[in-house]
Amino acid sequence: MLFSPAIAQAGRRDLRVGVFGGDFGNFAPVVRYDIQGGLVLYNIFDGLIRIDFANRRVIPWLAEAWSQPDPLTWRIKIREGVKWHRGYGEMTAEDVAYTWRYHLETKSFQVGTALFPIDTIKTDGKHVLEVKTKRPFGPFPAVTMGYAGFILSEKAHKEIGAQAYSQKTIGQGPFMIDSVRGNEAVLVKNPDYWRPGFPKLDRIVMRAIPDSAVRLQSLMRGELDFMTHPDPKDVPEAKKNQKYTTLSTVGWNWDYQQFNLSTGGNEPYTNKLVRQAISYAIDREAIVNEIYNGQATITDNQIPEGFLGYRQPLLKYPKNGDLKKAQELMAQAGVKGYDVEVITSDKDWLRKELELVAAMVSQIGINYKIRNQDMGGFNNLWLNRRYQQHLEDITLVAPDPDATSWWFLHSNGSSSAYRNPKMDALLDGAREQIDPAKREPMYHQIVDMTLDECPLIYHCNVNFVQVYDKRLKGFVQTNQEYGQFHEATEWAS
Amino acid sequence: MNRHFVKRLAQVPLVMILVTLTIFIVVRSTPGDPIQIMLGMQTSPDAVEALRKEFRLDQPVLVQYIYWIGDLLRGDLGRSIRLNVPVSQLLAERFPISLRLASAAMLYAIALSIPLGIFAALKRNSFIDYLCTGFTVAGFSIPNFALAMILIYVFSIQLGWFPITGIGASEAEGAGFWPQISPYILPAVALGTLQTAVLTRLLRSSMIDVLSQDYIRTARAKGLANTTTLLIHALKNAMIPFVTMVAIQFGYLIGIQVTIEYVFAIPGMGSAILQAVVTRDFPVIQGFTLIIATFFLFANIVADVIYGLLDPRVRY
Repeated sequence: MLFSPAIAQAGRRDLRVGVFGGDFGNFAPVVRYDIQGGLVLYNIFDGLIRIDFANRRVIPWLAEAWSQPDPLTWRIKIREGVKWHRGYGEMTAEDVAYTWRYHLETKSFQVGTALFPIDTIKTDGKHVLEVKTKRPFGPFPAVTMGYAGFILSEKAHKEIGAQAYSQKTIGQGPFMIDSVRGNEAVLVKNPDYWRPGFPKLDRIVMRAIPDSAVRLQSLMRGELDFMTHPDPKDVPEAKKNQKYTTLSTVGWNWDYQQFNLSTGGNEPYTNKLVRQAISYAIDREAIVNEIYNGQATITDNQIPEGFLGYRQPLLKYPKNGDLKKAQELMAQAGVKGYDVEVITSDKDWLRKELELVAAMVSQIGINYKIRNQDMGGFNNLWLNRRYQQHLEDITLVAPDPDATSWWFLHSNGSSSAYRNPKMDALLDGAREQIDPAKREPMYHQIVDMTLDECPLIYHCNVNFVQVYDKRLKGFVQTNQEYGQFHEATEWAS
Repeated sequence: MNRHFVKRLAQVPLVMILVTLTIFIVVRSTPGDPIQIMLGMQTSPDAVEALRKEFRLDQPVLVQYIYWIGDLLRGDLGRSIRLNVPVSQLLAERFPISLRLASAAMLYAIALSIPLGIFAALKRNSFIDYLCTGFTVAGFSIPNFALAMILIYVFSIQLGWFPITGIGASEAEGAGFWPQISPYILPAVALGTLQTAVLTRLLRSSMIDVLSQDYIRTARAKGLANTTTLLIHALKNAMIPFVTMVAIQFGYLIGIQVTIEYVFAIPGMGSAILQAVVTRDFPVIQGFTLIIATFFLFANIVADVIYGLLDPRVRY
């Protein structure tokens, strides 16, 4: 062998990770980041909260505790003794206030996503933050403290400037950015990390390798130790290989179809019976097996496992569909068949999925005219509601049912193409309810109405898969695509 | 010659204006809003407007063009919308990698095409000639990404001779000559095989043409050694179009690396443009395309100059 990248594992304190994509994007938590950028960010920042994936709940992290003196007020206690990277001092409530005010003042993406309910922010001493919301906001811990939970160091941000912060990001997590160049990000251990004994590794080299086959082959050749997102068809083979650990778990995402019901037109699919017929015509099990090689979980609703309001699918539509029922519904709707343009993005698996779905609905006389768009073109049509129907996948950004429903079903939701005052009232009510026990049945109602109205038809939750060297231990898989933490990962001695 | 060179250089600004206009119009006519793509779906109209204003995308297209040209004249290629870094910084990271890969591919093409072209011309219509023809036809026909996958399977997976990835990796730095060179070998072969075919065919026909000239017959009649006749008299003249083509193809190689970069995970210019196109990152598409166009333009001028220098019969 002329070139041997394999290195002796004993005593190793480094990790080489292959992720998808061509580069990592930016690393500033005030600028929206890509998934592969998120994989880095989750290792250089600790959030205000964390998700306990095993027990499916939000747990305190840098926000050590929080309370609600009244429905509009959240008092957050920030953990003491957390140090910023590279000597920028201790993280305080002032940093949190600065970060959120910065988002609000610059009208960053978080204004719409997580910080929109905020009215005022003030600090009470060095480690307490008091936030008042405009209206009661139940998802505050998961959405606001979760999705907007990566905090800036006020001192570093002011000193090095907003633009430079995207590259020389100062966090307070287990690893620090050493260098970012091309498709490689090198992280090194944070010697001042607040959790004693962590991280276990000294160095992580993350490399963006766009082709999943090349990523897997690089792993098998010893050029990588750990990889994400293998092609589903390669997963059974990887699982059989004794040299690697293959983890596969249901992801917080969906593959779904959406109908544009916002135009007020009289297309056949504006009739809910037709949409129900389509949902009955779908063989979800075939999608999971044919497109994802079994690496996905069938669902017919928007709330994935682990979220408040989750109920074991399938709630209404059978896994193999019900063609007879679909035909009856079409007859009941008085629709014999029609042509409709359905768009999707350039993701290979979605194109195949749409072809499969088109074959399924053709059995009830509906002819899907497929139009593939690159991601830029697709977003343009989708977000401006210039489509009849689309099929796409989506990653859910915050572990709260509000994030699964409000944006897609409320009249004011930016991704919604559905107008229903009853649904709006339900969504707003659930958002304003603080008590989880009372919120849960509200989301059951929302899901039931969605299943009946079918403004979106859900197919499955696609699994997140990682393959890594068997001699690695400590890595804990999560259901969140970004959330792959390596602070406990280490080589077996 | 000098006058021609000056004339060609004088045309550069006009060509560049046309290039910038074309790039700008094509990029802006593509459907898709970079700000919406950047911010995603769960965002507020305020956030979209603020970022649009920051990148001057709220201005009329003509005004945007004027701003862009003004910035270009000051040496500012703009700032990536997605990455939030200056385009010049991205270029400084990625251009050297693309240049190194193009150089490696061209070296491979030259090293292989010269002996193949000569042998094919000398052994015209023989088995060796047919073999060379077969190789060049394959070189023309096999898409470079397919060749890349074959090379990976054979030389990386089966034989384990070369790494699949590693160009631009910090691991290779300071690790010696071979770890730095070896990641370039398979991508260079995959990228340069088409150019090898082009140059082999060109040299073969050029050699055949030169070998049938009277002065070669005279040289042989005078009793000059076959090697001297071939290398000093025939090859020197046959190389004139070859060298010109090398210059042109080199400019071309910089712009066609995207599929090879994808397969071998190379952080070059092609993958940056691809990512920028998908996310409609206008400043990156514009800046990188402009640099590639400029490189190609100057490669053509260099080819012209070389042609004039090598062939005394050529007078502009």
